[in-house]
Amino acid sequence: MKHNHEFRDPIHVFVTLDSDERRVVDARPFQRLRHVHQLAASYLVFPGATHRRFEHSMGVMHLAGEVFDVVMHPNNRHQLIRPEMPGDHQLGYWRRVVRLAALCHDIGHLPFSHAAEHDLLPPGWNHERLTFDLINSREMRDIFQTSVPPVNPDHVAKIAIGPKKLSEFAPDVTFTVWETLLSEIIVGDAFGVDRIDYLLRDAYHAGVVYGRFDHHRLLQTLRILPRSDQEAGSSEPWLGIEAGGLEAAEAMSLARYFMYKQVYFHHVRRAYDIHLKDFLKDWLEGHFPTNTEDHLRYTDNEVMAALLAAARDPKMLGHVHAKRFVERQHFKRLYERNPADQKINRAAVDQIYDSLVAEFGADSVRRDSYPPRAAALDFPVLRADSSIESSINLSETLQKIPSAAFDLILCDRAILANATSFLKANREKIITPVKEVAS
Amino acid sequence: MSAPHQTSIVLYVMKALKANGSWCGETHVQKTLFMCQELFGVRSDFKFILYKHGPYSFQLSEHLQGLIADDLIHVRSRPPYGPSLELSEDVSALYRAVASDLNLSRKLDFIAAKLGRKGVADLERLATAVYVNEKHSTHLPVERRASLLISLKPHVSSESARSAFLEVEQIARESQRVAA
Repeated sequence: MKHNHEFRDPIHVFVTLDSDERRVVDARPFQRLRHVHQLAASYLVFPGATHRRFEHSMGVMHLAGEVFDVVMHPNNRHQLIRPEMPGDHQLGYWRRVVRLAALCHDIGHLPFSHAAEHDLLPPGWNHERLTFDLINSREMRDIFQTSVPPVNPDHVAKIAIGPKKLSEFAPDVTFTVWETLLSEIIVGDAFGVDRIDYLLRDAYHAGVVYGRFDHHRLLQTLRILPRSDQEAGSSEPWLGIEAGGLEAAEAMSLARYFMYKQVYFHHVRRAYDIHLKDFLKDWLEGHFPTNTEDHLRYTDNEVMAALLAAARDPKMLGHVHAKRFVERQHFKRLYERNPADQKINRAAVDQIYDSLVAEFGADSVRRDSYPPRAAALDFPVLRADSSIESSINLSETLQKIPSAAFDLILCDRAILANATSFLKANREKIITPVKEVAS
Repeated sequence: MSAPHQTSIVLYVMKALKANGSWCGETHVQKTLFMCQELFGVRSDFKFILYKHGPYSFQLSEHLQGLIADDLIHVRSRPPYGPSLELSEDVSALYRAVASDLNLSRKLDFIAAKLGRKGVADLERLATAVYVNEKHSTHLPVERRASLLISLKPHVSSESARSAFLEVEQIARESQRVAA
């Protein structure tokens, strides 16, 4: 009987699973990911970006196992954090939990991934909550509890989702320091393998080089380190890095910045997301179901079939939006947040948007945004002299990476010329200086 | 609560920490706002959960990132310690509303004075002690509460855990006078 199962993968060459992990891959919630695009409708802009959550999830599992092996290697364990680690006899169990959690971390995604999530679930719901429910479904619990050794599904759910998202719908669940560390391996801002895999994979399929970095070097230098070795500092363990991997960490942060600017925030991709969401609101007449069985029935395929049918038939719900999507009559970029206007008023985009809606009507104008967030990552770095220092102190590059953000107004191409002229003639009147109001 | 009012509270807390000689790392801002919320009921609408160095708000962390991205605050390297947060020039107008609300500002000032000069290890054990008191009960013996704290933060020593509860009780007693 075969115990190891190898899958070819364009990023990691081979992804190897054992028979218990293979049972998870063969289960319905995981197989459904074969039909959910990783980058929603980005393939309409980057034709190669047709990859699915299925292979991404396998890649995340592969990397999670690799990171676990590196940071838990006896030679790599820092003496200050050894007491906080579980005994060696428990490591095999936790390695399995981490790999299963990585495998399952995306199983709650809606059709077309993030594009459809916002506004299309009831209040209090997101894909992480669906993931949590699916991991705890009878079908998945049976697999976890009959694996060797048996795995507690609660551990898988916690590590897959992490404290930040889990606290949004399960506020009473607490994480031990060890569980927090393991979830950082998957969903952490600094070195989460979810991020490592999606940057490499999305760049590969989109045909851009921006997402590439020396991830082999990065992974080999990851360490669990006390946050500080100063007397006043805390020795709480964090995921950090040996100094030799700092350039790889810098490259990863830059890769993330460029991928957001070039791929994830591409204005045409955002336009298609908006049309898709508008269509789904009409087609669903509400929101996606949150019951796990009903959730499993919806993939990109069902949505695309409905979208194509609606585009052909003016009587069908969502026809206008479907037609825009299918016939590539997407809205066009009209205005973007920019430093000059921000200096006059930080609410300049609000002012422009409101005036365009008043002039041309809400149906012809759309707004999409992602708030600015600082990109500097603070993590412990183990130096050659065995001291530990903050990454911010050691890397000017990490200090200076700009935030990736956008605030975009798009309009129906039928009004584009008039709207452009309107803005040109009225911009100075619309954007009025207003003093900051504190409350 | 509106985002501008949250900004106002966060910037005022940073100003108060600086005024008390703090190097004002993110942990100072996090734990000061948490203690203000728990001891005085100051509303900032940041939700805290147990995470890095004790009670922690991801929403507050993202709010700080937004302020950095908008050039309202800056991250300054401070070797060999962790990075410091600095207010940009001309942000005083943004926290004027809090500064002029004496009932609110004196509570923020009080906690900032208590925590401003603490190191991260002290901030961690004190804030986690407040968390344990809130989750369980101040009626439990200190020894029992210290064990609960250590179960959450195994790197904190028994002596540090016990003294954290005593110090928190002292701060709570003084805070009643400030609130009165």
